[in-house]
Amino acid sequence: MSYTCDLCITKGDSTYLYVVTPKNEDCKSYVRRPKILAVTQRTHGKSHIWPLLSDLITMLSNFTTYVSRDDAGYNKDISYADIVRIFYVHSISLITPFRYLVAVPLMRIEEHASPWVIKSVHARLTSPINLVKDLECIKCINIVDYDDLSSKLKDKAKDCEKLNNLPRLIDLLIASYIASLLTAPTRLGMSLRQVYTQAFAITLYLISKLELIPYAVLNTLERMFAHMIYDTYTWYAQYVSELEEPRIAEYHYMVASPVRKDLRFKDVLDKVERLVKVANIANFIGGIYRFLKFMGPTNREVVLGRLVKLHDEIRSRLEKLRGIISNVVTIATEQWGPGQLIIINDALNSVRDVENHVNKFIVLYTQSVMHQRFYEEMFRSRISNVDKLSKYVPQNVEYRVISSTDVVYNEVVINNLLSILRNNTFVISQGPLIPALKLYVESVRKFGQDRAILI
Amino acid sequence: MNLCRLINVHVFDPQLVYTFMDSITEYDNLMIYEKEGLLGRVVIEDISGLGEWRKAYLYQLLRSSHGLAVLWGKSQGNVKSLSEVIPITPYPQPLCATEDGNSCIKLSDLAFCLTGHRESEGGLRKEVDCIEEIYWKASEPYNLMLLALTLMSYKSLKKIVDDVRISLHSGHSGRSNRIIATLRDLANTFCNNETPITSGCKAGIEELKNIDVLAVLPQLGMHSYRAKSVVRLLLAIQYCIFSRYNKSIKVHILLSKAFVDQSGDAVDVFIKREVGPVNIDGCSVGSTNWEVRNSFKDDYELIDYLKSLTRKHKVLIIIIGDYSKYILTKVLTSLNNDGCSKPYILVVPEVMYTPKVNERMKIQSIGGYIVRAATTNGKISCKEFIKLLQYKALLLRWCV
Repeated sequence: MSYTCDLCITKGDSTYLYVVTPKNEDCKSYVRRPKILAVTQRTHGKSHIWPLLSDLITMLSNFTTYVSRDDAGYNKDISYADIVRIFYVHSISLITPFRYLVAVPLMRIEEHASPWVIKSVHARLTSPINLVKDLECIKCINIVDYDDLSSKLKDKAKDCEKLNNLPRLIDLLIASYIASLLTAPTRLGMSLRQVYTQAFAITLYLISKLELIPYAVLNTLERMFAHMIYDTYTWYAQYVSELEEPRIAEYHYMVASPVRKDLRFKDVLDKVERLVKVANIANFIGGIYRFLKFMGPTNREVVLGRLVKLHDEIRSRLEKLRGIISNVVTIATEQWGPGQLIIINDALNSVRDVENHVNKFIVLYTQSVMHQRFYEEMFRSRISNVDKLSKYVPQNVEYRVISSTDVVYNEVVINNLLSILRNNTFVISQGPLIPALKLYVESVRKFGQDRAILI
Repeated sequence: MNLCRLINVHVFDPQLVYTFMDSITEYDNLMIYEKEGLLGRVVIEDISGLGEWRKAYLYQLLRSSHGLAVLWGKSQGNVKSLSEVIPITPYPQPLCATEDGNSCIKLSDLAFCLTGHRESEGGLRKEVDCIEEIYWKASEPYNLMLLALTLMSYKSLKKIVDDVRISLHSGHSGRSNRIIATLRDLANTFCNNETPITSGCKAGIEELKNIDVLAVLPQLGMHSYRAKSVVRLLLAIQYCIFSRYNKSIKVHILLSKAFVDQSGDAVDVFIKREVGPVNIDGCSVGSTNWEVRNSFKDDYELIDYLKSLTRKHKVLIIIIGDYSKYILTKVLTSLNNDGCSKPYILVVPEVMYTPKVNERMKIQSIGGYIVRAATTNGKISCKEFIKLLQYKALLLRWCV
């Protein structure tokens, strides 16, 4: 079997991990051969890449696992074999929205008497993990020299102490990129691609605008972002559309992404590189959105469209609204994440003649967006630790549980919530219709029609 | 209370909530010990037959990222013979589960987590009744808590519990046993046998007696089998709600242009009414007085038509599952200054959790489509159907 290589994260001349796609014209083979995460033996709890891997483990476990680490972010007890097994265990879990195979590269082993060599060979031959040949990184779409990237970021942090926490944010961005490539062809899988891509887009724009990272690192992140979009419209869309069973079961419509055979990675990258220099977030997101929507035959855009719509709707409402906004209430949709939170905040702040002092964001979520709730919080804590970025992210976010069907429970929760809020509240009612309509109607009743939108 | 027992622990995967409404696993007993940031979770399974061995593997697969201790106790099957075949841990009766290790207790002596009653005090009935009430009134947050209790790390579990707690109380609690306390709070709030309260813009079914037109807005993406399910649902609404008022209700099914373009087979179901008469409370009920509008040029025309209906009639807008929030906003916001009568809106979920308890006080099944959940032996029960609507469908009046 041959592969195309999506990503290669290296340690100088050697490799930490790959993400590869089996190359096969028969799309149905994607069921049997999804993407492959290949982990090399340079990964362990003491390696430079461990903080990134620990984020990736948390995300791929669907937040059932948080990795313990020391103050510096490492765990000396975690061996390479542990990492391979942890990824393998999560790859076969029934409750995670990811689908991938775990592979270990073939090694050239000359020693044949040492116990650890025999143990390692035996483990490979008896484990249900794939063996892949060491790929040439040069053929990969994205090649990241992680150690070099880390040292560049640390050098930058030396110049400016306030950027000490930037490497951990970049780790989470890269982990989000890898996780997005590995999502399953399910409804939640598609949503998470959107959420990760939106978070990546916004953060990429902000760190570019604020010139927080060296150009080489920025260029690496731009390539990753372009590839997230490209992969969603090409490989993933093809993957979803060709699967026989979801189509018969009318399941595929839930995972709606038009296949774009016309799309070229280079075109997306060119667009990203040009647009990242524009004046504001809305123009950046809107530019990518219009490029994807109008340049193709389908006239549809699924990755960033929600952010554009939210920004436009909130802005147009706020232009007519007088008075302070101290609290914002919203319902988490399947695309809820750091991207939505920051774009809502940006839209609120972009209308100058409204004196906005948002003290608190209250987010109602249903059980089906639990992953998004945890991801947003994890991302927010990371971005808030980077001094220059923290002002773009609301700090006071409170989560409450709502139900998509239980009207009695919703009555209690919404009544409780509205009883503590005053007229300086703005309500963005979205997501599942039963709670969204209830929240919208009661908010219009309490705060007036100008202070609530149903979107 | 630091130690308690949850029974009938059905866990649903929220990822599958729209498509597969069956539990991914079910535990007979989940013992929770919680004190000062320390949490113990132990499952005690009853062996009801030789087939139980398969669960050992299922549990392992589900809990791949989190070790939940499972003990196996004798109920109807033989724990000794099973433990000789597969590596399971028999449950020692009594279990020394208290802090000092000396005061051993029997499982049956443990207080139930929701009601605080003990089995020996006849508390089993009360606990099962409470679980049933919670499934009617707060099934999703309860499932989220069970999912977190059985499959998630303590860190995630604490966050979810705090989210549920603040939802119920508008404030965080500093109590050390907050998981058990939140379960008790859920029970105290919802295990009270009260019918849903009406407040704000919420409406009761009895208010619908003045309605004379139903405007049905089917969801995009629907195909023939779901359209047939919608037809049955509409027949049940027409018969169970309005026939008792001897009212002739006109049903307008409004199909948007996008719906007609995408779902030709569903359009046929509505036009040809490819569903035979349905048995409701022993009566054969068919569709009468229905009108299907499928020639709207765009959403604006549909919005105008809906507005014109609300001008002339007392309308109940029926939405099944989801609908364009853009259209809804356009219609609702125009009503304030358009001289229209304020319509009622009914949003019916396609799938939901509803409990069925058997005579052995085990929860037999949870979940399903609304009409199917009200159907027994091919007959829809209006009583069941109305109860489902009361607890699982949003009915409100645009009272702004």
